[in-house]
Amino acid sequence: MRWHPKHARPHQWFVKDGRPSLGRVAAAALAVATVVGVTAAIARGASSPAPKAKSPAVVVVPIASPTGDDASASSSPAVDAHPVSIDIPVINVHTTLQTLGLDASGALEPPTNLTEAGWYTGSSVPGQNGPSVIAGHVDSFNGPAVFFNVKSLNPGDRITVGLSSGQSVAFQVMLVQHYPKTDFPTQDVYGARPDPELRLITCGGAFADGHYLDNIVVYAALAK
Amino acid sequence: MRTRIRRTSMVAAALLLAIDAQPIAASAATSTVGWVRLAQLSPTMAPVDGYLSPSAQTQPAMAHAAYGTISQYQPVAPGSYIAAFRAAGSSATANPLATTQLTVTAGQAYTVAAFGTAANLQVLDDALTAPAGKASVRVIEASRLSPTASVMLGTEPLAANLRSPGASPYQAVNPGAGALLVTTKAVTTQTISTNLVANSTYSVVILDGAEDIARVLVVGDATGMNAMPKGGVATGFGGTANTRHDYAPALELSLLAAMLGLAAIRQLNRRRQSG
Repeated sequence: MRWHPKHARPHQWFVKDGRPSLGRVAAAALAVATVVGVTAAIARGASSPAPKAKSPAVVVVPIASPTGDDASASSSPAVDAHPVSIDIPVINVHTTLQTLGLDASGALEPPTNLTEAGWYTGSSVPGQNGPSVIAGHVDSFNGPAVFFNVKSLNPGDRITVGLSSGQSVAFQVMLVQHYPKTDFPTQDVYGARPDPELRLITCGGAFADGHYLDNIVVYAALAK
Repeated sequence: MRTRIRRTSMVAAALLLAIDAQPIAASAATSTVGWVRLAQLSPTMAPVDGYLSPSAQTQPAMAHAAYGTISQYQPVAPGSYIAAFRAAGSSATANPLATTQLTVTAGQAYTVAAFGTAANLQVLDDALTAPAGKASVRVIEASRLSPTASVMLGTEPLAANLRSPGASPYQAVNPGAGALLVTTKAVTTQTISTNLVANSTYSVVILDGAEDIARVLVVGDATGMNAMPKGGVATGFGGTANTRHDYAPALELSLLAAMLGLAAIRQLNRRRQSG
């Protein structure tokens, strides 16, 4: 049988009396939009960093027996070991670490990899006295990145940093703060500390002109 | 005598200047704790166990500490504490050799030290910050065999004829590699190479050594960074920002447009065929 609109009519459910019904087309569009939205949401969720199932035995670096000799002159972070991984079980972060430097303006370079955090090589080695700085992206152009859930950390949450020596250092969150980037408290975040501390830094707040307006900083100290 | 007096007044002026440049308190905003370390710097006190109470730990904060031992800093909640030094190995309830009370303020650091020949403890206020780009250094004279010490970092005097037991104020110096010149008994000078980190604070501790040569410790008080990053970090591209949805809506809108277009084309075709 030759094709005829009459026959096709019943199959085109959005066509009423030979003409597309505005209401039905709109309903179809809405349905498609909903499906697309949900799919996109699922895709976003799926793109969050996959755990690299690695749980090294936690060996807390012995808190250096104090200074019977003058070795402590080297409270400088220049020691052989450097951090290679970070695990934050409560938000399912398990990642290796790249190294970060400063850019030409003196600001901390963000990690080049969205699924990997980075350690600032000018900061203390985790477990040594002073602040150790680890930064990670909160998101990419279209989904979460490695530090997406850092904002939901709470005081007492555990963070473990693995060192190239095979040891690891356990920290616990003390404080989570949001700061406008225009009013970043450099001294609080990067200033000297008498004990081994850790800072996690990522972005947050409103997004405008291609940048987040805030930084989120997690302050952590050695786990008790 | 006249020269000595003049020198003393010069030293006093230097100390006043140094006091003027005293540490700024570390931000109270982010410091929910203060820090305490214990030190056994008494040449006549036997090894001790140092306790800080109240404390969650029943172990001494510093165990079997011989003369010259300085513990790590311990973060503690602000408040009032008792430090007690007991003979090493004795029970936690034994009579202490020396005790003192101290009040801990958030964001401040303290060294509680057995100091000198009297059986008592002293509380030293420790600096956590140095002037930007500098290191801050003080001298703690805790030697009995060398009752006075003069210390220079390169050509900068840190302490002149500092008496034991005593501590100089912190003094800002240039960071980096340097030579610490420690003169005791006015005759013996020893040189110790140092490499001070900028934005950090240190204590140089003079102790009894062998014969006339004092033992010198360079202890990190607060450790900072030579290169502090400027400002925050650009760690996001907006893909999860509340204020922008440039991915999904674009897709949805284009599909919507495609559907409407399709419907319109079919309608046109139908008209053409039926017409």
